[in-house]
Amino acid sequence: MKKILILTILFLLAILTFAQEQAVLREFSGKVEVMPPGKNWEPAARNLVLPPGAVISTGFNSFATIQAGSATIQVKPLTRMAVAELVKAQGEQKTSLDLKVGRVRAKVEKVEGLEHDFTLKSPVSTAAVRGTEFDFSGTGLRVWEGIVRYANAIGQSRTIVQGESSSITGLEAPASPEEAAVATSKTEISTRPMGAAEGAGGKASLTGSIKVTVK
Amino acid sequence: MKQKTILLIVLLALLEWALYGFDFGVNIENNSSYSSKEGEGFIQENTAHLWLNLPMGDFWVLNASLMGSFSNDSDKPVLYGDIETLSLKGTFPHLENGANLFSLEMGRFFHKEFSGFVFAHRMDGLRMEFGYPFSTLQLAFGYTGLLNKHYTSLVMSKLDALDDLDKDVLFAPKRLIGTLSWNIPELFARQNVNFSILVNEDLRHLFEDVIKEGKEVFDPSSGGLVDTQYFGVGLDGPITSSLFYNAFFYLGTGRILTFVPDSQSNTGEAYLYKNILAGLGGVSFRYYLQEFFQSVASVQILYATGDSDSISYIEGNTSGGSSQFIPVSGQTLGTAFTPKASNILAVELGYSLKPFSSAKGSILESLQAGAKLTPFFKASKGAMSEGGIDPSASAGYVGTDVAVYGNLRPFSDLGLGLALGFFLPNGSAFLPGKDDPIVYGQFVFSFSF
Repeated sequence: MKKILILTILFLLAILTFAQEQAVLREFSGKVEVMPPGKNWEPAARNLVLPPGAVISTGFNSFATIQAGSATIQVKPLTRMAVAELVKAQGEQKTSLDLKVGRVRAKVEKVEGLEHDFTLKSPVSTAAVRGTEFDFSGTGLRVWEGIVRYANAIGQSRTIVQGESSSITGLEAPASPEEAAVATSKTEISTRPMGAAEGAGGKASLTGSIKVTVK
Repeated sequence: MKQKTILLIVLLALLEWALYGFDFGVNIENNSSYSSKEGEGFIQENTAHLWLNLPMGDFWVLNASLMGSFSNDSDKPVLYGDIETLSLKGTFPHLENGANLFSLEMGRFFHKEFSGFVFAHRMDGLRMEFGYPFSTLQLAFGYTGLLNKHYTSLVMSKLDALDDLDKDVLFAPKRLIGTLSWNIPELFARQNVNFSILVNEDLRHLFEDVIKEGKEVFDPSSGGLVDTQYFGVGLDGPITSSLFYNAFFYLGTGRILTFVPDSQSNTGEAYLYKNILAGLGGVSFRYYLQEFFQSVASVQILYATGDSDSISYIEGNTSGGSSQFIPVSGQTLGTAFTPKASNILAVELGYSLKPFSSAKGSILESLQAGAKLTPFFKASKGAMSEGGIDPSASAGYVGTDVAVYGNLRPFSDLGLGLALGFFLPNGSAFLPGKDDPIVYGQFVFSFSF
């Protein structure tokens, strides 16, 4: 009898644990649609569970907030993102999202005894996160809290800390935080396009991936 | 029939390029300046750039830019032009295990070493870059003798200076430049490390007569070769999230032609090549205060060795080896007084802000206003690159350059810039009658479509 009780409790715990791994659409405004795997687009609903394979899309002036474990993802307007993977095992939580287009702000809370490996992918980028808050658009990064390791497709990386920004153009190494600061504090007189006279790369440099790792 | 076939092929080629998408445009710049410096005065230059960025397949891109200028500068023709850049660049990533990146660029391109104070110039040649996760290695070779001299700043020898004044000479000095650079980002504590070796080989003797070593009679109308090598190391990175620095040092070596006493000479003097052993160092700090009108406060210190027995910047050594640092090109400090990084100690204090940065959407939002104060000192007795300096004056204060400037970009395709500079000299550092203050003003207008 005792064994059955223990097994039942363990089973219930397993169910509860599984439930925590779901990505849930907590809030939204404007035109937000969800496409569950294998189904058609449907209007978003509060507390809608987004299983792996589900895609969320936001229109003009539309926002959505998704909760995935200890991560909160604010989906900005004109963004399309898919839930790729949601796994929890042995004190580690793994969340993987595919950012097709657009921009998101991710906040990953630190949870005692739980390591959250949070990954954002896009056709040109990947962001893997643990414990921080940042804006990410695939090619641009702004860190609001914590420390982010920001790397390009071949692994050339920079550490971007709270208050700093960086960007990656194609396969170039991540811009230093100072380059981002200069971009906002300096006005260039020349109206020539950047790199027009300096042999900038072309289409070849527009492919690849970016990886952001937060420590 | 043959013409139709050719036309068809051309159209197909254009269609293929169009499919990949290319970018082109025209940029016009008007640069009007006035300097009270001897031999300058009011100069107006209008330059048009026609540029093209043409992807060719998945890996290659053609960058081309033609430029033409109309100038009232008496040292230059009324109309002149050049191929600004013309290069084919290939980028070949390997994104599997052991990811790396190889890029190759051929043609005419802009190239610089990490500091920008030794070499920052266009050249014709080849550049290869090997990118690895923890470092980037770059190898480049180039030739400068096919550049229109009116767009260059490569005067290192007496013959370079003579050619610069000769209106019949169209091209820049014939120099071979080779660089090997190694960049290691965030080697420790977010600090980046740069190593660079730069070789400058004077090829003039392959094309024309130059003074040969051993000549016993002084010839003021000719000169010799200046071959130099530079070995540099640099550090840069953040100190805090708002405070950044960079520091670098270059050891300069090479040889320079010198007319010196020679016991083996019949006249007691002869031209001999003497070794150069010189140094250039710099450190700068920049503090970004974005919250206060996107302010930037900076201090930059630049030190370059001089040669105490030199009587002129160009081949001025008169005894023993030369310790004068000679950059190939590179940036300068100051606005009205702009000496090269040679026999100099300069301390530049700068501050800029964007007073209307919070007025989003305003035409003045991008306005950047700033000021610079640059006291200049001579590192040692001897010559500096600027005219009027007394080479016999000992090391010490040369003067202070004060400048204010404003940059505005009301629209993305319109840029306006105004700079006013004033140099207050220390009379004892200058030759008699050459110590007048210098007033400088510049207005730049840039428009693209």
